[in-house]
Amino acid sequence: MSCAAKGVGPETVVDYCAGTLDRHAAREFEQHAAGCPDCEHALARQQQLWTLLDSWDDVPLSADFNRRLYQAIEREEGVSPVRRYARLAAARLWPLSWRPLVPLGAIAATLAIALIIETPGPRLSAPPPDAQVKSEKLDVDQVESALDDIDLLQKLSDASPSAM
Amino acid sequence: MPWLLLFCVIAGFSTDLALAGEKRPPKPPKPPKAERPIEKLEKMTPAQRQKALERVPPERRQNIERRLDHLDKLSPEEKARVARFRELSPEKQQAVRQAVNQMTNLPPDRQRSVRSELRDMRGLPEPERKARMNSAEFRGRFSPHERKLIEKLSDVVPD
Repeated sequence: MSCAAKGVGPETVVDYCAGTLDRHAAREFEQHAAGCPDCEHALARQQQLWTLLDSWDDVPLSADFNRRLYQAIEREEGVSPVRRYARLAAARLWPLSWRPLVPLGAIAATLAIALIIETPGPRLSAPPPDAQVKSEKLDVDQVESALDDIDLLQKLSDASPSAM
Repeated sequence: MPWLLLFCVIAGFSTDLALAGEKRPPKPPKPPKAERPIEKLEKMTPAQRQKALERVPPERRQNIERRLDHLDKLSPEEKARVARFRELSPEKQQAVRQAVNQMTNLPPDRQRSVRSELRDMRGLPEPERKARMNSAEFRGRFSPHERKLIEKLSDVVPD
């Protein structure tokens, strides 16, 4: 816009189209634009822009669109070009993702642990009787106390020495 | 989170499968009571006893072995008395010990009377024993002290 008229500039055209000019200024600009091809052209283009903006319909976006957009930008900026191309090539060559392998591995590990824990091994078998005798520590005091009791009970017997 | 849930479900399921698929040996029945050392020794062969007592000082070991041999030679009635004694609670065992010692302090003829009474009680059911001890004839034959001794000692009278 190259209008040389005093007090008329691009902002006048924008303000007129936006309806922010006062009535007097708006009438003066209309009178000027009617005789000024340059301003008339600028006004026509500005009105066309406003018409386009008015006809614009918002595209619905997901709630986390901005977050994912910025994350994607950050990832792309942080990944080296070599790795980026390698990742793209791997994605094309290997259609399966590695993610399904994680639960499969966990299931296999759980099965293995369950079998190891519940399988009775030789460690669970009872030791031979001789080993039991050898390993157990005999409470000799308790044995002698029990023998004392038996001796005592024998005094109740008719054949005990005091019964004679 | 869904993966975690799926993992838990499958883990539990696979453990059940592992347990169900395995032929587990049946659990052995629990013994009614823990076996005492003397009971273990009674069941051992002489060689096993020797092995079990090998760390006991020689003199003490010989004494135990001699008494164990004597234990093997007890009459069935004496063994039954010992068995009954072992079934008693620690408190009742102590009461029997005291009663036996007190009985040995009685005059010999009274000791014989007490033993005779205990012998007559053999094979009597518990209610009949109590009825006998409550009878006037029993009260006339024994002093209160002797009656208490007999009552305590009746716990080790064989059925």
